[in-house]
Amino acid sequence: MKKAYGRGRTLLPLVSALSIAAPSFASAGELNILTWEGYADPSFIEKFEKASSCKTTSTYVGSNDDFAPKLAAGGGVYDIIVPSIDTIGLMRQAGFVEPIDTKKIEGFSDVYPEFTKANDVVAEGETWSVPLVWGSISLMYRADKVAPKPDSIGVLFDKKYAGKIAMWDDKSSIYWAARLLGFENVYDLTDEQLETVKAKLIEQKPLIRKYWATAGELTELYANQEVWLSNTWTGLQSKEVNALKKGFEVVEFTPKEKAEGWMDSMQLVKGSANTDCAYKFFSFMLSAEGQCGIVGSSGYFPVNPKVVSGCLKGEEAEAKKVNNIEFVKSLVMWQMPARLDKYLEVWNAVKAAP
Amino acid sequence: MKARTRQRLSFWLLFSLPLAWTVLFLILPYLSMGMMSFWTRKFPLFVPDFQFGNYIQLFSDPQYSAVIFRTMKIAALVTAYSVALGYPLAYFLVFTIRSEKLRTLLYMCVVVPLWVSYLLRAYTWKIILGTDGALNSALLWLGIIDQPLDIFLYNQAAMVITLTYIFIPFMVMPIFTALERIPSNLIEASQDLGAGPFETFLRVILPLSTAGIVAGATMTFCLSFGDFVAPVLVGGPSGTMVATVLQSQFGAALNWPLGSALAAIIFALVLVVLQVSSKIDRAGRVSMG
Amino acid sequence: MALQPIVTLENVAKAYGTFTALHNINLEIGAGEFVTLLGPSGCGKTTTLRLIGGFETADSGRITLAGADVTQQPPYRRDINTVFQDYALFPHMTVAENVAYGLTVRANRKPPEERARRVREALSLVGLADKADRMPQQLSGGQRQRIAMARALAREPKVLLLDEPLSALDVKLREAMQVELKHLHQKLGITFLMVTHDQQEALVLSNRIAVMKGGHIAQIGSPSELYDRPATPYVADFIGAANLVPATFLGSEGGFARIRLPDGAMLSGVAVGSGEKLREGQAALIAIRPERLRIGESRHGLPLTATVVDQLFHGGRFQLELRFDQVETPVFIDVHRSSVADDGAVPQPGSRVPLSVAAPDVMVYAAEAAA
Repeated sequence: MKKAYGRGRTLLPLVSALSIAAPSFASAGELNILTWEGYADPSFIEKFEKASSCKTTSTYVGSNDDFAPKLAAGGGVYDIIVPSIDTIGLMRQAGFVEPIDTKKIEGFSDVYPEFTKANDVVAEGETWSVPLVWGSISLMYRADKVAPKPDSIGVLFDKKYAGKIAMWDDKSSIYWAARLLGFENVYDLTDEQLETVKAKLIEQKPLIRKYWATAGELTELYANQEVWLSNTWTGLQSKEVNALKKGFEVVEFTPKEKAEGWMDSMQLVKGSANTDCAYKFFSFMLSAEGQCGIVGSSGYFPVNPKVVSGCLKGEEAEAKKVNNIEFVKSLVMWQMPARLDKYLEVWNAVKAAP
Repeated sequence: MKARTRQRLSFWLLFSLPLAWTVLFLILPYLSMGMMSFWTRKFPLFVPDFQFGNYIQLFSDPQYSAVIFRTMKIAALVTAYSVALGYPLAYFLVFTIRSEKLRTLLYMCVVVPLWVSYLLRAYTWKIILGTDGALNSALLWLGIIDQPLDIFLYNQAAMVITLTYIFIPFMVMPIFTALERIPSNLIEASQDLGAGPFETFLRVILPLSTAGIVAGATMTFCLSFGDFVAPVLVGGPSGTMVATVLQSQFGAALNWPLGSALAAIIFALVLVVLQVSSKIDRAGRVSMG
Repeated sequence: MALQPIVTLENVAKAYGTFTALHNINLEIGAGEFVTLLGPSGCGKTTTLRLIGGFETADSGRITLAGADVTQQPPYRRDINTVFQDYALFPHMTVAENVAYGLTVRANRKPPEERARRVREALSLVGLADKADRMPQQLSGGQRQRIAMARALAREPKVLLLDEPLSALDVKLREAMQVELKHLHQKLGITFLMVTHDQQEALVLSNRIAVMKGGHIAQIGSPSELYDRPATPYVADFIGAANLVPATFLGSEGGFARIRLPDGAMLSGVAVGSGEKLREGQAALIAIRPERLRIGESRHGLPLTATVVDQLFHGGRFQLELRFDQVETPVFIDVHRSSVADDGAVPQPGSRVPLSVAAPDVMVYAAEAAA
């Protein structure tokens, strides 16, 4: 596979230079980070820049599916990428990233071992990513419209709420339907199971108001009275919707078929000319300033529980699952599907269906 | 000899840049697209190859033909509505408005929206058509409905409305030009020969503005066919259009070979549309002499 | 007028904004006549034609066609057809389709056989039966002009309006077409009303000519009346060539007047052109056709003297530019080469020449009438 890939690789830069804008090359001392909105907030990034004298430029993605195309098209631009746990393996296999020397990162050993030793974080005897932040994907509903209180994914398939349901425009829709159908390993479904999942999702289509693509879009769908029910990035959109005070409240819940868990980690792009700055950045993000900063701006959970005692206390610490790694076990942690292409094809077929 | 050399030099100075531009940014990408459509997807990326699997997949898997036909249907509806609304508007501007100043002003009103961001204009329709939107508010206020309707937004009708609104200037402009070019004495001649206004319209004005309609329809159809903003903003769960699929093949799915094959098919379809329209256009085109 | 009037205009006026195109025009056209509206651009001739055709609506007054009031009727309800200035052939139809157009409209749909026959007849009338399947843009200007005629005539209208029908053709073709137009009129016997700014065309073709100026009809009459007895210096100048020379009116008896030229020459027995009353000693203007002036003395003519200013060669003739003493405006006369022994006999610039003109060929007008 590696050899075959190598042949393709040599042609890629040529093709991309012709069909897409020519890449701009980063200069040394300036970190280019491809990450998520809220993960490079000035409130803590400025501290890093001052302390390290490394400048940073951040570009945002809307989905884990954005990383590979961006790296394939414009190789050489980015120094650090921040994919979720189900995507870091793909980055490694595609040859986009370098192994990490964990000894050079302060605080790495304090990170939950559930993450530092996880599959794909560690592969081929090397560490490939630095955990940054984690969270879950649960369900959300409008308390004034949905009754009785739902406890199952089944509510997303309830005809009673036709036209008032939103689903994330993502292959993870397959995981939700598969769990509802009671399939065991949602990341390695058989063709037959995938057909059933596909049929289930197509059956759901008439109930769907909109497949949402960004966090802001889902917030807006609730705010504009378009939907009452959806899956959600736990902690983020519910906070945003309720902050708008539209005269109703949204409530998150973990269905009995479990919620999904994710962990975003930092990877070093192969050929980066700024490895020194990159390692400084990794260390900073695992420090008190970095962890408190990102938890504050995103609302997700810290990966290094030792450093957040200054900013997360009592109830807050509990809500952010500080030292509650047991919570991970209640989640279905994301993995790269064994047959990613097949999953994407199924999801595209669902969307293409009438 | 010297003059000839200089002439040749200035020729190349003048044309080398546009020529290089055309080759580098049009011809080479098309060639690479055509070439890549025969490559093979091999996880995690793809490898050079020469095989027809991508095309076979596109023709055998109904999800692709469904999307292509849906896109054609939507583009055709947008084109039809644009003609139905744009033609009378252009006609009104050319033949009913007597004042040159007023006509220019109204024509500008048609064209000016093109200066406003496309996204903003599409977004406006989301605000109008939404459950909590202006249309529902108006209907509620008028007492026509007592519950907001959600039938206006997030479906194909909303896409057709939005795209029609966005692309209608491209229909009005060529029809306006075609109508303006019809000499007034042809209309007078028709009336002189006993044809009333409607008959004159059917037999003289309409055939002589065919070129404008064809140009407008071609543009509107191709622009709506390739659109990917309307499906995202106002399209519902069944609003996937061909550009969305294309985007996902080059993006999420990282299957550039399949994407290239799809692009090649779209390219061929657009060529067919252009060919047909230029045929109709040539048949309808007459010199006004 | 002996003829039955087919078109009448009674006090017809038309204004475009502040510009008055027509001031209360009265005009009667008899059935079968060939009447020409003649004048420079802006004189109102085209407006008059468009009002009759129905392309404009009169502000006031009345227009009748064959006795019926058509003032408010649209063009498609008038039994009139027009040959447009640039022919206005439908570019998307063949010649035959163009000619058949007026026979296929809803209000006047003819059965196919009759339609075919009339198209054939109309096309052979203009000698273009073989061009039926051509497109208009494949034809020459003269051919298009004839197709436009055929298209209008195929409807067998009571009146045919012709708007500068020959103006787009070159000189040779125009002259040939004039002859054809005249024959066509004689053959068909229908009424022709033509607009032109070409006085020569008007003279050749018309039974009567209405010379227009500033929204008025300056004079209407037969070509010879207009030529020989122009009512005003304007008409005299517009129809044919006229030498206009200022003079002083000295008195008249029995329709003949006495005048004095600025150089002192006294002319008596000259014709009073306009109906206006001239007072003794009043400034006047005399008009003399170039061909009425002769070089040399004559027993019967009035004697005049002038200085040659220039000699212009025109091929078959010389045109001499002359000046009377004390007169600024030039006077032109023609010297035909056949009338002189050799070109050397033609008076040279600077020489003084005696002239003569028959008294009735000098027409006198009040000077202000020239304005």
